[in-house]
Amino acid sequence: MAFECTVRTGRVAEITLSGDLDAATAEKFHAALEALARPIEGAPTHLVLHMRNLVFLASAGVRVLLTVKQTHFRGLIVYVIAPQEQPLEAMRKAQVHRDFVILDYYPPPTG
Amino acid sequence: MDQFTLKVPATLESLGKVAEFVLAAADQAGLARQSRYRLRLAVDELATNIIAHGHSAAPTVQSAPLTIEVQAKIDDEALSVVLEDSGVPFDPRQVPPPDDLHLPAEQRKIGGLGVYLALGSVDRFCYERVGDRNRNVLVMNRRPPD
Repeated sequence: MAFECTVRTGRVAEITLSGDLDAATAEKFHAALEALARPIEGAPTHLVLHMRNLVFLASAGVRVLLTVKQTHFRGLIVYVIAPQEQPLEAMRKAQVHRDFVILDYYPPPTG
Repeated sequence: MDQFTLKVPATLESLGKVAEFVLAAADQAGLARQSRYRLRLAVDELATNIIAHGHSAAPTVQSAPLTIEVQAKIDDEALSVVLEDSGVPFDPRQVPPPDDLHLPAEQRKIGGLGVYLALGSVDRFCYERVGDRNRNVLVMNRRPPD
């Protein structure tokens, strides 16, 4: 399935991922992160990765997730929203799931 | 036994075709959803490795472009996917697993995950060097539906 990656800038930066994230498409995700990490306005305080429609995650995508925490958004809270079962399994096997706050919705329901 | 073959250039653009081929074979074999996904992941990782590292260190003008041949074989017990290439010898089993999985992301090395995910996703894996070709065999058992 074709990979799509849309970006929303702001204090809470958001990236919506859909389709297949593998070695053929990881650069697109990486480029989106680079763009968010150099905002015209203030630097983001949080990053939200919407993964509800991400159907495939290979190690190339996991590596970009690692770089999120190593470079672009080091020290910031990064949310992963609604990952599907199999991409989440890949994150678990690679032991990167512990480095993100995984939620069903963002912002999380209150009350 | 049913058998299908796909031959593609060893380029990143081929990963989509390889995935379609593997998923179609998985459907033909009646693999469960999780096994289907895991097989696709394993094949994608090993194909990516061939594309990234399989080319000869010193290609000559006469060198044929590297290709990947994918075969799917379905028998009563299992679906086997065979990946063959004529790149430099590479046995994925010799790649040590990452030794820093326990560390926080900030302290981890980038790399080494692909083969680890691939070999951990299939029911059986074997490798052999046949002549000038690498031969990777990935096997998923066909389980009765839940």
